Amino acid sequence: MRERLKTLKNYFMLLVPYWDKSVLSLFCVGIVVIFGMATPLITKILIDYAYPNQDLYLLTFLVLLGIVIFLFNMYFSDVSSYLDTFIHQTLSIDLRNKFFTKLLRLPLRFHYEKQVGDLMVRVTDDIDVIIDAVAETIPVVIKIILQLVALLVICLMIDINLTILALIGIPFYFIQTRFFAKRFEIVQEKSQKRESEIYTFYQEKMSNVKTIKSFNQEMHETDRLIDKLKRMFRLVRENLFLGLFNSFFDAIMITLWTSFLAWYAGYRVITGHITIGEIMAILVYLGQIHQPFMDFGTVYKSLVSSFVSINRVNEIFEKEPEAYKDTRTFILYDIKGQVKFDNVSFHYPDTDEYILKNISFNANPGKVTALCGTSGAGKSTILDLLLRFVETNEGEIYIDEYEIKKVSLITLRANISIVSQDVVIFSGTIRENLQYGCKEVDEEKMIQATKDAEIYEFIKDTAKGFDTRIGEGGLGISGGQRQRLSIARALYRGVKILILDEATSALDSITEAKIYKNMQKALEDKTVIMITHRPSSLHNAEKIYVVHENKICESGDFDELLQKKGEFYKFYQAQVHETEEETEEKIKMKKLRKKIDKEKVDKEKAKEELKLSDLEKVIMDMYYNKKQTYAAISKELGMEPYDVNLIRKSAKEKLETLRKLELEE
Amino acid sequence: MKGIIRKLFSTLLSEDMGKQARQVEIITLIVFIILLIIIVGLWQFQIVLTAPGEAGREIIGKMNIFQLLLSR
Repeated sequence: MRERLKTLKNYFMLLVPYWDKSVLSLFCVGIVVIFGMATPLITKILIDYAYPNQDLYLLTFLVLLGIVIFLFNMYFSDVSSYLDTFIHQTLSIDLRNKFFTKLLRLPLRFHYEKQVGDLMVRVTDDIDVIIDAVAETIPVVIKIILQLVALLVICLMIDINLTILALIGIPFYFIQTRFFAKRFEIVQEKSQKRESEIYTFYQEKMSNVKTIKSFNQEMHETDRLIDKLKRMFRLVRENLFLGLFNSFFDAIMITLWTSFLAWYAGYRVITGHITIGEIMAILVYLGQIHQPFMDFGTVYKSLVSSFVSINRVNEIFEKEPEAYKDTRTFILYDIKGQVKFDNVSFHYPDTDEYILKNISFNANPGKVTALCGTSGAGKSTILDLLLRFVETNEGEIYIDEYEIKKVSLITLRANISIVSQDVVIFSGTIRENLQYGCKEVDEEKMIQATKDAEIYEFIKDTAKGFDTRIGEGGLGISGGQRQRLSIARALYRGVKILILDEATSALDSITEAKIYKNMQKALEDKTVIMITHRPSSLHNAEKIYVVHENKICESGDFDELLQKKGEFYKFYQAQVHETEEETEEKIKMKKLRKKIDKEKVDKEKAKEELKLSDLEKVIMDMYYNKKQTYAAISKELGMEPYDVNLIRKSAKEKLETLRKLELEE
Repeated sequence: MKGIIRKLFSTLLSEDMGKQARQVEIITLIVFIILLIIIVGLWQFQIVLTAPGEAGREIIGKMNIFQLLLSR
């Protein structure tokens, strides 16, 4: 219990920033309670003095006083409601903000394990329950105390015996409230769990309608939902019965109690101990006395039920977040973008089985480095390690000369853009999606990025261009368009390290080739790390690392790796579905083409070397076209005749060789 | 009338919530001061209680409203 109260205290501390409004609201409640006590007293005066004495003046005065009290009562009651709503709403924003921030800062692994539906219930229902308890408990308890004290004081002033009798009933009321509150807590805990299950179910099914339809499971899934709803309904019914029993016992107890008090009050009037006016006032007060107890019962049950929600929300608050607040870190700014994995190994904390073992590779700026391999080989984990979604167990990862473990997480991720296979497009305009995560707004840069990603034409053709709404409730876009938007978004960010994780999987080879061609300029100074299965994409990589059985088993460029006939060779064959002979033929063709290309380059180089210089051209022109002598040429050019002869001979040789080459071609 | 209510609502809703709460606090304090003045006034004000007697209405007592309400 002490632990619970301590936890509850932390939540009540959320009220501290609003202490002035809380105090004012309580103050207003106090005035309302005091004014509420005045009306029966006025009735008492009317009955005991004004009517018997035919005092018209007193009657008028008391009626006017009643109106004034009513007006003030209404004003202070409304102000209290306004302030309570203000506190309730701002508290709700504060707590949701705190919870959501915490949720987003938790490691990715937590989100992989936790079900979205469950988190939805925590962020909505559970927080609502907590806020209701925290925002309402203190004002209601203080109101109850004030009401009871005022009632007791007035009742004691009117008749001590009657008041003492009234007090005897209080402990019985507390006992029955406590009895029911315990049961409410148990039902509440079950209900919240069940509700999480239902939310998770909805979320899972809604995101996979295509699969459900393709397996003809619509009816089956509906039946499953009905089962879950029925189980939930059982709990709702349990809660309802508990509530009904609770109200029944409340009503019985209060009715019996007040009836007995009314009888006793009447007895006191008949025996001449109190006046008719006094008994009228006392009966009104006794009618009011059950309200504070009812309120107390409600608050107590709400407080007890809130412990379930507090535990569920605290479970999230107590989780260890990512190291966002570590200030002993380097800030990555103006980097070259060199990425180095140095003997990196990784396994999840709950197992000793390595996902990656001794991974070492370099990805250089201005180059495309590819990682390929079979599914489950650990390629995506390499990217998770680079982005520090998970931490290495052994070895280090460097960006430039900085060990990423010692780099501020925010600046690390600010320097890396990722385009993944599962593209997420948020509801909003195309512009908002493109500028996601960017502070600067550069229209030209945005247009260029969309042009490079081959999506500009599509955007231009939409009704509102960049301001067209997409995602939920907006324009539907295909998987390929999503991927191109995602590429444009990454290019617009203009960061140094770009990760393409199967980024073109939904695109045809022609569009893919176009995009890579367009991106060449944008990627000139960037480090591109590409994960892909597609041989057509792998052609764009300068260096390919083959990940096999959690290790890097081969590396080299595309042709080198094919020639090695190792894992990459098998991988390639499996991807393009070729026989060994066909691949052999292809390798031979590639070798031949390489040889031809090399010869072509050599010839071009030779031709370049055989080009005549300006001096040679002038001498050749003077000697052969203008038929001038060595002496005349040397005089005109200020050279020795011997040198002129040498230059002419060399130029002639060059021209002959060039002619031969051209003839060969 | 409808227009006035709509205008009043739009004025109330267009205000920043925090600023509005502050205004409500100030107004409430002013109203409370007015209430205190009224209470002091009522405290000072003596009500003359009369009853029908042989020579017309006779004064049976003088007291302020608080004394009157809490008297037995």
